[in-house]
Amino acid sequence: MFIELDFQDNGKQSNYQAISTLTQLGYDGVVFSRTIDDLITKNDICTFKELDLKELDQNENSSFKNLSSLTLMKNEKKQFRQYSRLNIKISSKKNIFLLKKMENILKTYDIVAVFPQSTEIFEKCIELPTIDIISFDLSLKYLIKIKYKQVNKAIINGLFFEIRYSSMFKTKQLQARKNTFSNAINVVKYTKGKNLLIASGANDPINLRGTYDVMNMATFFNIPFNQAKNILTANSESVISHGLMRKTYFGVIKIDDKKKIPKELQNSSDEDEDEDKEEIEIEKEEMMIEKN
Amino acid sequence: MVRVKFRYLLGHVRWQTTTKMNSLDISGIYHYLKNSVKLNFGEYAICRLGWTLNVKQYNPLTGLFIVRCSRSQMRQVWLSLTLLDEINSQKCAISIIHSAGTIRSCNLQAIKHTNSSLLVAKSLIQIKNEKEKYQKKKNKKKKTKKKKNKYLPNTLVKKNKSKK
Repeated sequence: MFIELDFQDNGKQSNYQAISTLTQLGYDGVVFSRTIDDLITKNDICTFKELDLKELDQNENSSFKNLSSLTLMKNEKKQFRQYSRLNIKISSKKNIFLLKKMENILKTYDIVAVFPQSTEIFEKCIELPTIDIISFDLSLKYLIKIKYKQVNKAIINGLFFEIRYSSMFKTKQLQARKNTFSNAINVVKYTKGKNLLIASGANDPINLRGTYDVMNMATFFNIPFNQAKNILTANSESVISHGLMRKTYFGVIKIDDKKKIPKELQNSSDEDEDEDKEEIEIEKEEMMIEKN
Repeated sequence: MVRVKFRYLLGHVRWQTTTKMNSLDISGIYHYLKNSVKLNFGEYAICRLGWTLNVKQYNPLTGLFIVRCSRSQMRQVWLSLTLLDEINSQKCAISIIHSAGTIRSCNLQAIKHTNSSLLVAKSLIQIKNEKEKYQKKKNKKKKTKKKKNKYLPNTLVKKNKSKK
């Protein structure tokens, strides 16, 4: 189950084109993201709605139709999954308390990611319970100073680190491509391949690459062959489950809409009552036979 | 005995705009490939590749092509293909589907890849035909009924008199 972990949300039409290219490339799920600078306010509640893919494929008169859409190719039982995500850039120490205070707003998103801009902020982000991912801006020349002790603490708490490869595809800025390579190797060196993620923070669907291409790229970041496939499949699913735990009070209670339950299970209570009634009738008949 | 072993890579090109690139040739792809290997891995990598780098087939309609390289340099050629951005001042993206030791197995995989896209076109045409049939049936059944005036008694309503 390959999941694309970062794609910017620019409206319905661009999302539909992105999904049509991703099914071509071999992915099974997408996370649509949104970026924020520093301050979190009440207006930042998640307004993401999932696209109904069957209607959009079969509608002739709609403007969304695209002949390269291969969503019909997959089995009908297999669904293309869609999630939502928030990216927060923090550049001042004073705004870290907002991440703890605005819990209820952060719980509306499936995944929350933080971009620390200095080492002091990086130290304080490790112990927060309202966060899933810590990622860096890799196109800069000088990366943050990372230390082994802090990284090991974060892995014990269950946080993930991320590499983004979309900044390599700017041809007129060759310096960005050189910086991403050197910084990504630095990140891999300190994490040793544990709790790593690879994603593309792309705007256009042209900057997306296939699953095996990304695995080949990971070998040039000094990630060994065996871990390269695990990073794309197992770690990406564990991030989503980590997000669920954060939303639902450590997995004890979960509240869902009624529409998500399939129709067969909605009326399950009636079937149990019918079975109990039948048993009672059988028992009555047996009692009557015994009397007679 | 000692044999030189190759790897054949099946690749797929997709463009940003839907304009047809009929002017692209096999020599054009070879030119841009060589430049990207030089950019990313240096001149030493080109000297190691030497004469083994070659583009064998290219289909401009579907966008599939086959590239040959020596076995030890496969991953470097693969990376230089993924990082290829622009061809003829238009943006493009390359994704590699299959890698094999012979051309024949690459061609078999290319057949499978085109079959899957043909199935989608077939199913879309089927849906279109079914909708047209359904609409034709609907239009046949619609007949305008003559409305009876409620406030007139039945005797005043005109009846069709059969001519004897």
